[in-house]
Amino acid sequence: MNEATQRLCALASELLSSGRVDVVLGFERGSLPLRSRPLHARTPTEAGRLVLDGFSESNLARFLCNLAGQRVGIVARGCEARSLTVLLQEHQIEREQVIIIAVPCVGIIDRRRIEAETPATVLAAAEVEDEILLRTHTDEIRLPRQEYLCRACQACDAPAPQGDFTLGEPLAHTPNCNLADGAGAQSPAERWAAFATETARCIRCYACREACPLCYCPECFVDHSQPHWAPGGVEPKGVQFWHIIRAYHQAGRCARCGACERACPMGISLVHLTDKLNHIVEDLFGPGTGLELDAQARGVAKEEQG
Amino acid sequence: MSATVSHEPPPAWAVTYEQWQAFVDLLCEERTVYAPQAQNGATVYRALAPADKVAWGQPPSTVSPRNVFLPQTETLFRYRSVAGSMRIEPGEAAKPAVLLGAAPCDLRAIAVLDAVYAAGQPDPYYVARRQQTVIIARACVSPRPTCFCTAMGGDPFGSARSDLFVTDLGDRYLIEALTRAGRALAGRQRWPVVCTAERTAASRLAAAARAALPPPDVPPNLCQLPKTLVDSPLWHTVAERCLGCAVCAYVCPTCHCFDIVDEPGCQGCGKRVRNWDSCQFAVYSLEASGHNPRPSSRERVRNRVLDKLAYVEQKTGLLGCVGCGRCVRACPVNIDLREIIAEVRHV
Repeated sequence: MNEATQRLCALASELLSSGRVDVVLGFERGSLPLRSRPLHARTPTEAGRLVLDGFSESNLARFLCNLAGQRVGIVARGCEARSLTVLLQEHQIEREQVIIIAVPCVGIIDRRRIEAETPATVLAAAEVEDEILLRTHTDEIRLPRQEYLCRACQACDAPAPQGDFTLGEPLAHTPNCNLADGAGAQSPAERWAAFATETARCIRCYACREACPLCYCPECFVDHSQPHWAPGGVEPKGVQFWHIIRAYHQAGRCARCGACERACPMGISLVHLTDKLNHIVEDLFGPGTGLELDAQARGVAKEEQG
Repeated sequence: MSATVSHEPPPAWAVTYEQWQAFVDLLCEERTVYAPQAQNGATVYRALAPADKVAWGQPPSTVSPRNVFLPQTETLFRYRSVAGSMRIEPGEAAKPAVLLGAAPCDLRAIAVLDAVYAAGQPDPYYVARRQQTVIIARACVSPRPTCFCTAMGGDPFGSARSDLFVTDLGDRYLIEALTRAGRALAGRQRWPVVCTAERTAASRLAAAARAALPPPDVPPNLCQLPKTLVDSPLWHTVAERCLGCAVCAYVCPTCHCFDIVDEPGCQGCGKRVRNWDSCQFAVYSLEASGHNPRPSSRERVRNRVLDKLAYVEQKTGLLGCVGCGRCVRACPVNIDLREIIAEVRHV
């Protein structure tokens, strides 16, 4: 257990035993290699299971709206903090309800890429400094960590949030890719073809929606039956409609965490679409979705100016 | 479709990979061949187009082959309003097909689908597809760490319900014909008949595959559902982490729920469509009155797990889970059915 994890377990345990929070949202080791999973720690013993690692691929802010009326300690990386800010701006949670345990993030590991590139079955995985260590039946494989980060993490320019508590050292981090770069150079017809091909394998499981911290509507537009806005099923018309409207509902709100893409069982490039929108919004309204706790939501600010 | 009862080992051949490919090419000319295809890390069963490659890879596929018999979206019929009366035109008729590459866990799942869709009041759409589809399954030579078919009474070399059964011996295939339909397909080929050494090699692979899986077992019989289990705090713990998506249900080979909707087009035209549905969605159980008998994630998660472990068995006599591990692999928050089954034993 590394030092930051030890400090996290101690802090979470203290917050729970002192009664300052009812639950600490964090991650625990999963049942599979390369996987850590969300944990709702409600006792100091459960808090002892918390981990901080690059295998934690969900966005914990997604669980906040389910915890109305409870005081929550949330382990927040940059993306969780940005999501939390938007949830506050949109009045979905109360600031007093949340204690933010800020952890500077070194990025989430793209396990799908590792699985695709490793022909043998990965039996165990660990992070050791700037390397990922994999064990298979026959080999031990070392991969450079930085090269195996999720695309959203490669592009992240705010990995170290402000919190009520901060664990670990601040990070020096520069984004090294621009997700929607390719799309700008394509003609509309090429963009459409790429989008149609990418979404053709969607199975409408809505993991993207459910993994998203900002898709919190009690009733999603695709679930309306009267009016029946969008065809269900997997015919292209309905699938494309779903993906376009999902992305549009994120315009100016998307926290750029990439949780949607990591949740997708079909490996659909979802970040590609939202990130294009994010760039457009930033060009028009300036940077910083979810960066400033005191700022108003973008739509509100615009109305008042107008 | 029907297995022949025989004490003799089924007729078998040893074929080279080239001979097998030629056979698959031939099948493609005659029938629609559904085979696993890889798409950015996800393997799904799709109709093979001439240039497509079969992603034999490591079974099971990401999404089960149930879409071959139950397409995720299926037009049941089209309607057209003409001069005040309604004309109905049937949807697409089932065509002769081959399901190529199904794993033994998938074959067991087909028994569950048969019990639901082909017994009692048969579903004509399912039955038409099922009857016209030859099943060429393959032995599961290298199970994944998430596989647990043996813990659910299955076997990585279980060939029941396949017409032809393929075992990859590493340098060639051992092909067994288990039914008349299988013999009819294979009998046209001039394949060399299998020898004892090849049968021995297959037995060795079977033993190795079994050794790589959990010990043979069946989960606790929950048909008499204990109240302690229904009220267990376990469901709250699982539900708290559950996102409420339908990944588990949509990759599952035995899940079989659907939703029927009319999709109106223009000028009185439209179609009636059947889509997959999942009990993990809140709208699945939402009633017209606004009442939802499964109002929270706790009830929905419990329903799915108990469907796999109790309800399907109560209705069909077959276990609702075949231990393919697809849901274990695909769950975005690593909800592991094996862990839940272990907990259920202690409730």
